[in-house]
Amino acid sequence: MKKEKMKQKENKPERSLYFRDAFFFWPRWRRFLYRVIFSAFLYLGLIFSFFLIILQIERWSNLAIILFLFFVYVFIKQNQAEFSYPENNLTKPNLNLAHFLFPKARDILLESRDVAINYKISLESALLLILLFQEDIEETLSFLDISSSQIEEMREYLRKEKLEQMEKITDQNYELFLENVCRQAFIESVNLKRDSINIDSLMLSLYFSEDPRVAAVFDLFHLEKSDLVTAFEMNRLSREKGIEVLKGLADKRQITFQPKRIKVNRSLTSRPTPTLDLYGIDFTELALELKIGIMIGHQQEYQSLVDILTREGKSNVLLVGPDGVGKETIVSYLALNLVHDKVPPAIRDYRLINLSLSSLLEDIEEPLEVFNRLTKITKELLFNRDIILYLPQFHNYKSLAQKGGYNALDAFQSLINTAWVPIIGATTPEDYRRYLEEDSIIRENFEIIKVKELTSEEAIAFLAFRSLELQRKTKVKVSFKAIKRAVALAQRFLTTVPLPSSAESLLTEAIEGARRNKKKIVTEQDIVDLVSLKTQIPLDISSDEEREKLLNLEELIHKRLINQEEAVQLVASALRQYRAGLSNVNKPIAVFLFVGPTGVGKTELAKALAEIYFGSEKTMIRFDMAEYQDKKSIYRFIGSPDGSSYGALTEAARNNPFSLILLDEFEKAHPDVLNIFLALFDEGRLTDNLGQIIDFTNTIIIATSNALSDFIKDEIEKGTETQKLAEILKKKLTDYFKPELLNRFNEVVVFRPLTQEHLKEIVELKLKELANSLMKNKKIELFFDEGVVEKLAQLGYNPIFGARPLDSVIRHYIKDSLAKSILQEKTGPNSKVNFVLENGEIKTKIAAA
Amino acid sequence: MEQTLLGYFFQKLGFYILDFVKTYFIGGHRLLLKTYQNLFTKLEHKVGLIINIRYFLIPLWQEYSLPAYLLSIPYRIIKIIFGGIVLILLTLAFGAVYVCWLCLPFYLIFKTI
Repeated sequence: MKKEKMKQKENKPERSLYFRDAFFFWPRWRRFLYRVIFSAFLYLGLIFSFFLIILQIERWSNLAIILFLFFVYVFIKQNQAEFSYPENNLTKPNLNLAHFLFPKARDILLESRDVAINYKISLESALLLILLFQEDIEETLSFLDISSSQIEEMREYLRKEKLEQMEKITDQNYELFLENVCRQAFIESVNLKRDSINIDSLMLSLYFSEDPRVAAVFDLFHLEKSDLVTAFEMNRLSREKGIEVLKGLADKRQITFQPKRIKVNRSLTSRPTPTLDLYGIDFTELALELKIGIMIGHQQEYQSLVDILTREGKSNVLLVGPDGVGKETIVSYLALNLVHDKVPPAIRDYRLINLSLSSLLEDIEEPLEVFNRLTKITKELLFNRDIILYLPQFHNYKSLAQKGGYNALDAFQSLINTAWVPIIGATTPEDYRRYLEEDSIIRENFEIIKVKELTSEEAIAFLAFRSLELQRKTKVKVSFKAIKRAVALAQRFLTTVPLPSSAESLLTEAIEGARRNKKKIVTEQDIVDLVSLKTQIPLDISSDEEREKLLNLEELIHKRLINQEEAVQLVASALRQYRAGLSNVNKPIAVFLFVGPTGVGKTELAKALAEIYFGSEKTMIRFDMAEYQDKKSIYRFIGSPDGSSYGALTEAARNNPFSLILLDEFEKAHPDVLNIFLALFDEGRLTDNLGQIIDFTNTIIIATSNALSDFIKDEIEKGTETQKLAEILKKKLTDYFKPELLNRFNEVVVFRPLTQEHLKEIVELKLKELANSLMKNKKIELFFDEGVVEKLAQLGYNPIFGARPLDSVIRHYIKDSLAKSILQEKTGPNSKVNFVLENGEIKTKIAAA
Repeated sequence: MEQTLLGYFFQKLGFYILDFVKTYFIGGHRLLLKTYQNLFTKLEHKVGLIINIRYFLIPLWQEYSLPAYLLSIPYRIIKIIFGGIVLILLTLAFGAVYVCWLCLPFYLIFKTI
């Protein structure tokens, strides 16, 4: 039986879509004549029937009413498609697509033949060319950051390449074109839930065209079909009236002393709650006025909320999620559904009241008063069985305590114990962990719902809608590409705030910027620039300057680091790969292990990287791993399990998500501490003591080690190649680190010991820095003899400490004597100070200004 | 696909006549029904007919005492009767409009003949 049905289904004839309309194949004059005849018929008919009614010519006036109605109908109908989808059964076996054409689309298709002949281009190109002249399309393309000049470029491109040996456009060709375009446009318009084939569906149908020039236009201007669909939708919505994105109640606080009517539910089963009405905000009332209630995403959390609220027994819920994740949105959506009776019968006709502690605290003279208010509200609520209480910032009730250890939450104790007043609390994961997790009342009486961050698709949908509301308010348009980029960048770089809030704040900030600069649209580039400014990370590699910088990273680093060519090259290459988008975005930007003797430039390279990559040396966060040698020190690193202290590493990354983390003397840390880095290096995130995930994907992590310094020195002296040495070292380093940890480093970078010659170069570099700084700050010119440089290099070199003593040598021989002469006022602005070597000693010669 | 100008004109005219009839009866029916449904839902929400039937035995303010019952049941009866009358009147009004709408063309033609 089933098989037969299946067979029947398989044999079901496919729907036939065809295009038949003689009008399209008529010459221009005949089409004109028809239009004249039709218009004459219509207007004469209207006038004739109208006068028949007015003049009341016996019984004919009755018929005239029908005639007049008919002509009015024709007048309206001629500006619409003959058939519209909702009213016609689209499952009919045969559909003539000509009937579904909107008059504007019909005119464009008629014009395309003439344009194709005039410009000697294909019919598809002609259609696209005409579409690009439509105001509606121009508006839509502006949502995709395509400016009028770019549209002109598209038109020019289509007009330019003329078909030299163009076939004559016969009726057959034209019919085939019409049928193909309309068939695809029909499918597109059904998907777009339009009534008929309009210019937007015609445009989308061209994505299926085989015309190479049409495809080239879409490719050249990066016009993705899915983006265009959204842009059409945004353009349509932006013209619709009454778009109000309903969110945020912070500004909807009620005035405390405003006299209010007693609020009741429809069944009049609720008892008066004057105190609650005074301090609370009735969400159901706001939802009734359509001031709140829109929700995008969060369906799963909402369903869980409704399930818990309607089940037998305790029905208290605690929504746990970061600020801005959408907890209040879920509650508002519940209020809207309560108003429309779209909830299970168990909670139908309930009121949803938002009671924030801040409103309770308003105008209190004595702290005790808030507890009195809470007790009153609890009493009122206990008499009611049709109120859902929403307590935002729920942890505040717990943290607000009075003498004797009685906290505000205790005032609700009797309420929590009952089963008939559902409570919805909302809090953040940190506050939950800190104040509520250990509370037995919460554990036993509340069901936890973790509110997850919106997915990027949901956030885009939300922001597309929100941007239209902002556009209405600010008259600044936000392009769809800007929205997409804002979501992508917020997800990547603004990880401390969840979506959509993070991306929304970017958009509002960009809109404000556009308003200040008298710009009418926020583009993708505006968002990139804003994020670059906020994070200090150059995100745009399209500028020549930035490209140059990336290509010449080695040179830039060598401006402040001598020797270590291989190390610099490895680091520069890893960073270039990251910036070119070739690295895994779910890992830190780069993870390096710098190995080599002390004083060879490991920290200096880290500093140089911090400056070049994040804009300042100050973005480098240094940890001396020798301080983490015992097992318990792990808690100092990621925080204590009881939440009493923060972790040094996790807090540093949370507060500075864009930083370089330097882990000095990595091998000295306790193995358990090192284990933390397995997950961190691999996934780019770490869970802290409060269970929060800390993001490290925007950090560069550099671990340094002095292990095997002698071995490195010996091998370098033997002439072993650095690359080979790194391989050997990786094996030998397993004595210090687990192999799985070593494998997680992007590179094990070997630093060579410095020679006397290198030292001389370093001295020159440091003296140059000093001279520049003095010139800038005190207008004192410094000059150094070759002999002085050599002497300082000799004094600053130590086979064990590398170039480390160099700073103190310069301090002792140069800065000290300079300081004395400045204090003795021998040296002042515009002085020239010469450092020379006389009899093996460094002497100062001052030429005053 | 050759078609004369007049042939095309009369084909279109035929379409408009048929579509006018269809729109008048089917479209009109849909419009009236939708308007009626919307108004009914809104009015029902206001007069609370169904909710008063559902909570018939629950006293006002949930005051489970004899005086409250004595006050509540007549109150709910009045609300139910009032709500019922309002909704019946609305239904009758729409029924009348609907019948008039349906009969109007036939009446006008009949008067002409």
